Amino acid sequence: MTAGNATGQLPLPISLDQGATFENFYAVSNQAGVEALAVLARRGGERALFLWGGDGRGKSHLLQAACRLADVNNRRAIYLPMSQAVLLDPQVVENLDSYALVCVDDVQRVAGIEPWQEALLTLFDALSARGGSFVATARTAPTAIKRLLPDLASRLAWGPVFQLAPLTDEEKIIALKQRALRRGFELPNDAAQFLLKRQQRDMHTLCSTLDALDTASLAAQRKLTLPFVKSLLDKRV
Amino acid sequence: MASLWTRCVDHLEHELTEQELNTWIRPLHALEDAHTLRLLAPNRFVMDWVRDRFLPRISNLARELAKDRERRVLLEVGTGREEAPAPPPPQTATGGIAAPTPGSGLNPLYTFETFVEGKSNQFALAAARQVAENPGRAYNPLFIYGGVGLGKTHLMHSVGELIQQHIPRARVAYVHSERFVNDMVRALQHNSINEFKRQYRTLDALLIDDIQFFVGKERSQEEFFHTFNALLEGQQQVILTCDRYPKEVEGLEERLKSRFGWGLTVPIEPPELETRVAILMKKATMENVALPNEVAFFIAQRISSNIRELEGALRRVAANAQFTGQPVTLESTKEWLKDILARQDRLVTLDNIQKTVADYFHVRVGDMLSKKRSRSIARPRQIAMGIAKELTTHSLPEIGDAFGGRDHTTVIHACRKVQELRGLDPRFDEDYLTLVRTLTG
Repeated sequence: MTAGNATGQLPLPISLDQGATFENFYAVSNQAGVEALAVLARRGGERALFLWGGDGRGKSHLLQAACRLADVNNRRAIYLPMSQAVLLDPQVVENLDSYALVCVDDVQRVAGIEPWQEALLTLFDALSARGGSFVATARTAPTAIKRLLPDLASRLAWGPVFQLAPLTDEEKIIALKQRALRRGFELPNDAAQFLLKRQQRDMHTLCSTLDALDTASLAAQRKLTLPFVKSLLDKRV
Repeated sequence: MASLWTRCVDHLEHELTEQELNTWIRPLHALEDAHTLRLLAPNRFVMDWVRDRFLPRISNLARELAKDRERRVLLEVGTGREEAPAPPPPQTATGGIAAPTPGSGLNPLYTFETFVEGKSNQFALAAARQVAENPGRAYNPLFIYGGVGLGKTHLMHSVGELIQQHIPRARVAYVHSERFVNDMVRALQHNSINEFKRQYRTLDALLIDDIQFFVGKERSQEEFFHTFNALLEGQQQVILTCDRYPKEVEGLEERLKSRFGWGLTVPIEPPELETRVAILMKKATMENVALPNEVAFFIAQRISSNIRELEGALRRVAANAQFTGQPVTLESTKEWLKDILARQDRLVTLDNIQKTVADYFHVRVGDMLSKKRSRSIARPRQIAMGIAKELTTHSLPEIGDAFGGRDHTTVIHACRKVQELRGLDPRFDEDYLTLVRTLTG
């Protein structure tokens, strides 16, 4: 779906989403891990912290929120999405021990790639020696990642390890309604429930659909009511 | 008014994705004066990436936003820790860039005082103390080997710290072997290998961690061999760690293996239960966590693979206690660690032990449970029985029963045999520990 409807108003080319923050993360049953990460971003303390869970649980969001929060607190931080970084030379992590916080997303992507694992291992040790923190995420707990050097796996498990629980459908609806409010509109209950019935129910898909619907409603200058949502999703199919 | 760079980033927030901002833009360190905006990237790779993809836009923004005067945007490699602008890299006599200097790299947190002694590490600890008191003379090299997360690095740093304390002018360097390899490759690229050699060979003590990472890197082994010889000839101390006994490291030159045995080779074994409890209590005291004995005992009992994971569990309990404001009790600990415990419970069943061991040795579970007595089947069966006894609470008759209806005396024999072989054959011991680690997640 695009906003480029011939008869619709073009939406402003600005991002209404204020980016990934802790405030716009719906933590519910994951509060301890989320709070531990926020404390680490604000003032450090742990040499390592690990978050794990399946797709759509908010791992990338949380790491980016941590980088942003560290930045606001004048602590230097860097976000490394390993899904993309493994395509680059491991030199990209050289000297990152000068940072207060290094956030490595999807660390399972280095499994079996020895130069990258060795580079992360060296970075971990150097960062730790300087009092910095190494935060990583993966789909599984560190010691369950296959083809990972035991040296690296044990370091990843050195700090607190938190599993991110998935949201229930009810919680997803609350999270979607909160996201809608932050974007400046109200998502009716029936429309939210319809989204959950019609879409893949992972939060990535749900949020991106919601954002696309918002853009479309701005273009059409209509509220996001159930009939409107239905018509938009039918067009998408 | 916010700095020019802050205003640039504010604008870029509307143009770039959150990921681009957190990976490439916010991590840049900005230094501003009346004429220039200097952006420091942590390394050349990041600098090139930013220059190719973002610099034109940053320069435009800086021009638009600094209305009062034009400011030049410079992008360089630097950490921002230097007060003055980064000096140009020193030139060697040959015109190349000097090899990186190995800093001490010592972690002040790793000292003998914070190392917990137990039966599993007392030999290594005694040897390390000797070396720290008499560097270059007691045992040279000191070779410490053992599995991951058992304290090899801690012990190595402790020696370095103590040498440094006793002889403040001593040049001690701790280097991970991967860093040694990288430094050498860079020195070769920059035509400064002689400088590299000089840097390493003039140290008073060289501590190289995880030498198994030299495997397959022949040029590095060659260089290390000569560095090693030069240091030993000069009575400078060398300490090495490895995840296994030197002779067992495949892909390492024989002459290196042989020289590693010239000094003293000491193992560090996984800590036994009492030591694990003592480690937890010590860490808890150091970090002001009120940890009841029974909780320390419970965690130590459930996490036996290595010390890092033990510490990780403690950190997690501490984080939860801080967040919830609840005291650390056995009940709350079980709740906070429930996913680790559930995962272990799931993995450590007799069925799963049999399957995991069978997969590891490429035999069929059916064969392991059969009457077959060939060594290729009997050994995995004995290992599986030994692991079942160590990791589960099943009685010996129950274990025997699960292995094709065998008698409990067969299980006792298997456990004894496994113990004996672990002491005699390092490779057998490594197989055993790998399986335990796999099963205890």
